[in-house]
Amino acid sequence: MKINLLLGAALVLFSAAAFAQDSLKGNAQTGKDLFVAKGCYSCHGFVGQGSREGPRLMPALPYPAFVAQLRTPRTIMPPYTATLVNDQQAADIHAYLESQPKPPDPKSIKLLQ
Amino acid sequence: MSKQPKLKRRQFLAGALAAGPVASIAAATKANAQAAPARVTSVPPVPPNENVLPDGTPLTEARSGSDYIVDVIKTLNIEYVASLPAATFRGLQESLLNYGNNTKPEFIMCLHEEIAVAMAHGYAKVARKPMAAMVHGTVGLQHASMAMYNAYADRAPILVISGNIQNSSARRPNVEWNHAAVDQNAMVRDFTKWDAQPTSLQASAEALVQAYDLAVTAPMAPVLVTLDADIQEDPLHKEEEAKLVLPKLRRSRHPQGDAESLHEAAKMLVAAENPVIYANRYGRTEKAPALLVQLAELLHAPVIDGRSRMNFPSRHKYNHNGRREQALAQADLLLALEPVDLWGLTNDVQDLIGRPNRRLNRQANLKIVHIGTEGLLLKANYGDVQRYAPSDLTIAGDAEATMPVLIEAVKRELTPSRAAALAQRGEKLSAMAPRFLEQARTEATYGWDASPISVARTCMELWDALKGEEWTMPTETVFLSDYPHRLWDINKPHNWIGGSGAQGVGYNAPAALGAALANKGTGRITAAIIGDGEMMMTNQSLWTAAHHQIPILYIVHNNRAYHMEVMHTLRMADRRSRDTQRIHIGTDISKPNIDFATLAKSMGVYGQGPIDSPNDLGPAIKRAIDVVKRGEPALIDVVSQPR
Repeated sequence: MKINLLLGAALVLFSAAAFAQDSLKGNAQTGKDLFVAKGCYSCHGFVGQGSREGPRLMPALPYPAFVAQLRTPRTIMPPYTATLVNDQQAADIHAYLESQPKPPDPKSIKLLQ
Repeated sequence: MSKQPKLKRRQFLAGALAAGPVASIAAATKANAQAAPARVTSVPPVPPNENVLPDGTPLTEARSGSDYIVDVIKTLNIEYVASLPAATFRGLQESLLNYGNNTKPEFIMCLHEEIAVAMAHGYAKVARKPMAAMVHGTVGLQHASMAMYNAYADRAPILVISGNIQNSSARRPNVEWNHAAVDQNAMVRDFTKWDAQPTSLQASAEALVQAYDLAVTAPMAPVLVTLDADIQEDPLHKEEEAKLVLPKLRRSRHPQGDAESLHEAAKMLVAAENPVIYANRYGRTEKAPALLVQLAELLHAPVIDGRSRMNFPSRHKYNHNGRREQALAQADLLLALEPVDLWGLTNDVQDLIGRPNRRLNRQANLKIVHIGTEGLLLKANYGDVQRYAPSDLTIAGDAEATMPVLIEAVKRELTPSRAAALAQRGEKLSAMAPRFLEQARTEATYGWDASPISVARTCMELWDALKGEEWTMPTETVFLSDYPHRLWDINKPHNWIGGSGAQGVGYNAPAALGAALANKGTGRITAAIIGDGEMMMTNQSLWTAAHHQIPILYIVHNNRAYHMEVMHTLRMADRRSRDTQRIHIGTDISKPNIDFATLAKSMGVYGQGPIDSPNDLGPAIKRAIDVVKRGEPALIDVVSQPR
């Protein structure tokens, strides 16, 4: 029963997120500023590279999964309610993460050999 | 000298103070006037005996109690004493410098008692023996206390010496009362292994030797001896000294697990299908890693390194830190060597509202064999004891001292067929190992060219300079996302020494300097990456590095914040859906940004930075390493990603 409720809630969130993504276009530059202002950088690094405190965010999750994790984290990440990060801001942050370039091939970096 | 009256120093001081200098001179003048015709002169008359005041108070002494204390200290083969000078041990300080010729121990001047103790902490883990730290009575010991707590929690041996004026009637007014106490050791008794406040010279000698012996016998820890100022400063006459007995250091062995229990443990290890070895504060000597390699290769078992010491080579095929949780989840037997926190290997308290406890993903039939000294040194007040955890077999004994016996017990249990089966397990484990390094390398590429500079980039720029050298990285790596352990080839006992023990901020800069002091003259490069908050807590370490020409490279991981607290405050704001921008109030170290290169230069240390372009970092490290190779300290300020 409890699991069903959770799944139901997740589906509602995913649907709402998908709807929000359809109607909201994220701005990567705004998202970059929000990534700092909302404290995302503190665990995930300024470019989402990840750290011991929080996983790498590149490549970016699909938007519905991103918002689901933001609102109802499955790990010890603190929750970001719509009061803290509204749907437009979530879309902006997601756009920032999507705008990050692919990292270089480790084999191309001499120091990593 | 033996004919001089045996007036105690404090009696002299009390008498002199009561009468005052004018009265003393007046008395001398009167005595002189009676002995010779009066004459007019502006020069104060010379007393008939230059060494004794007319009231019999001696003015000079040939040998003092503190000289004898130096004799005692020299029997302990202590190379250095780190100290900030202070009145309560002025007698001993002068004896160390002149009578002891400032060698063994050599006086290392520090600008804070916390630095003196933390230096000794880092030194002990590289030199594998203690040095002394000498701290002022009351106020100096209070300054030193946090560093002593770190060293206690890290089970590092330090001989801490302090001073006191026990005879209250001999204390000069005001300050000497503030710097004296009835039982000053009480303030650190909860985190020292032993302490003493001896009341005679013989007792002082025995206390120092006993303290040293206890400090270096596992479980090792700081010890404290408070030496009375009178005992230090009073004249020591030949007839008194003839009665003294110089204590001889006893030869103590470390506690070792009992043979019967180790036989049982060996049976369990050989029978297990998926044993995992967890080593945390295991490596006490240079022999430790090789012994653990021997056991792991006998059992073909993965090792998870808790990294409180150099326990196991980072790139060994059985180092499975790269799949720590998976390995522990599959384990049917866990051998925990000095784990410190046994409970935390199978349980967790989540940082969520209500702090829920949870059992980690572990096999229902998991058996635990625990070897360690945790239960052999316990104090009730502080939480160093950690949470109670059950085990199937706990063996009280120093894990490293026990290891040779355990290895032999395992060899006796291994039949040829069982050894062959375990070897097959080893092949599977070996095949996994290369992927850990590959994963870490891939992770490092994200943010590789970012500014602020990524910690992975900083670590690898430094590694490029160290990998062809003998080196020690003496500072904590958790705030560096553990990249040194994941990407560097850490395989020598002196490469890594673990962390602070109690996470008391201020450990890293002086402990690294202590490690560098131990490395001085060995050709090893000591390179420390230290947070900006850490550096600011004990930045006076730089002056000591320059003053004593201790070669060390400091790289400041400058994220311009107490970043752990940024994350803590953010978590609270997130839970409460409140402003996330105010979390920087009281946590950020900016406005103004600290200029660490200028700070270093102000204390005579070569400084570079701030460096915020990753491409500038490699050349800066090369220049700084050249300085270090010349025998001098250097610092680079790197504007960094948070973690």
